[in-house]
Amino acid sequence: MTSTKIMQTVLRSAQVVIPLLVIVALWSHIAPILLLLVIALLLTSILDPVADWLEMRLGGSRLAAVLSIYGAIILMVVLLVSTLGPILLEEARSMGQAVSGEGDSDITADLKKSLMDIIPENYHETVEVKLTEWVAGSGQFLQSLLKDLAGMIGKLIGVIMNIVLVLVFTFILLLESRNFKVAFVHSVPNAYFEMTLNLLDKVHAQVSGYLRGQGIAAASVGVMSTIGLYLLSWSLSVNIPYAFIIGMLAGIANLIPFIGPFVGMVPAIIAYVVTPQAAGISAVVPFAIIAMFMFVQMIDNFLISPKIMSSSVGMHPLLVMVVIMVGNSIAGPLGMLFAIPTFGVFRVTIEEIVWGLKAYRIL
Amino acid sequence: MKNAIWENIFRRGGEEQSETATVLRNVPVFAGFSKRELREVERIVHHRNYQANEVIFRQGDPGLGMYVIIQGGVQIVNNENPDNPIVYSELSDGDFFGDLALVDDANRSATALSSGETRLISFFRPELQSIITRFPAIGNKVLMNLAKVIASRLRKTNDYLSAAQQKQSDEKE
Repeated sequence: MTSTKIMQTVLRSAQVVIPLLVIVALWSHIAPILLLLVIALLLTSILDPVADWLEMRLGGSRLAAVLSIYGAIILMVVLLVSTLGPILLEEARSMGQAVSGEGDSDITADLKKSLMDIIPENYHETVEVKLTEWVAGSGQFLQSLLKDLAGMIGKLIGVIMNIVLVLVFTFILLLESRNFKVAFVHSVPNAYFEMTLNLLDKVHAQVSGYLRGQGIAAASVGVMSTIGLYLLSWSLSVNIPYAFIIGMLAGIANLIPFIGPFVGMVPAIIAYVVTPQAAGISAVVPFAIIAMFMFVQMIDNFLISPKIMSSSVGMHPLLVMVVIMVGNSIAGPLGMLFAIPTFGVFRVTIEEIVWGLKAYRIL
Repeated sequence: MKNAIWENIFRRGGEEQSETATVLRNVPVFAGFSKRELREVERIVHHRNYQANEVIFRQGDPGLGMYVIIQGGVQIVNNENPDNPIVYSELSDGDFFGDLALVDDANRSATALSSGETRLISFFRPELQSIITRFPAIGNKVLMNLAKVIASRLRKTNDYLSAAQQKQSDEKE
């Protein structure tokens, strides 16, 4: 090995080792920013093909393409907030009043009445005690929630700041992704150059395909569930309230396999049972709600997902439970929701890395 | 040593870019490209430096794309029998190799070795796909030129095959 080659190897290693040492030393400060960067990278993976397509349409200007995407996002948010915001707020307000018993409908009293109609008389006392305990518990929970309001506002500002930072990072990454890729690959030793590029490309394609697929499937399930609930209300002449919120919940919960479908189904049935109905409670409606959600799941599982999912992330139910519990212990309810997609991203990444190491005979 | 990241962020129309454009213009895959089209290609190619006898790619590795020699030399070697490697060809400044990998991801049929200090430009399949998506006109030109290169090779192979068959039938007679 010549002295020039030794010097080049030392300098290349230093370029990698020194930043790594700095990262380790300042980990506690860097970790939150790194998390935002990872989210921005995932967003970039989803939006990159859109930016490429727009770049082609806009005569090759990357800046115009990225600005168009941000313009479209802002327009969509404004439209959503102005059109769906009032419906969402009204449903949330009415739901809140119903739970606290302040509004026209008292969810506790309605639930009690519905249960008393169904349950034999000798169990009425037990049901009443249990319901009173539940209401007291809910009240305490709401009081503690109000106490934490100041803290929550602080957290909200933090969340908004983080969203802005993620959007800024995504903007820069979308604009400069090719230059960053060239710069990153430049520092890879010749022996691993082709393998690194091949892996970067495959991981990028798989991860962006997986995330886009999950997003489209969730949006489809959300829209179909909302339309389904409105159609049921209309065709059976019954009142199933909060259809929009429940539909959205069903869409987001669709990210969780096996459990997701029930997250929309159960609240819809409860909402129907506890709402005063002109024609009284019918046993047919809950079954119709179950059938509707099952139909939506069938459309998703047999028509939508097979068309859009680039990589099947078939998981054993036990593994799903474990991953969701780990997500819960790391980041609470939000962690539960995003545990499976995060696991999916890790899984396709590791699968591609293992493929690359085998294909290039390193493993 | 220059910092690649800052170099790429604050890219200047420097000497290396014009050298890249000059080299690329003479490669059949980029024949007939305008200055603007070459500039788009320049933005996505990679520059690599190799010492003598360094492996560029190995026989059996998944193929990813082509290389153009800016300066130096490259040997294309069949390494199936490591004790007796067969040198298929020796390439020099301006030559290109590995172009079939732009079309499919079949494994490399030979090993490429640098025969001295060598500077290369590499152009890979993901970058070609990106060009096709963003600039379909440029992508079409690359694909048409690539088809011409492959067609020319196929014709040569047919000529060799015809000559070999003729020779065989002459020998039988």
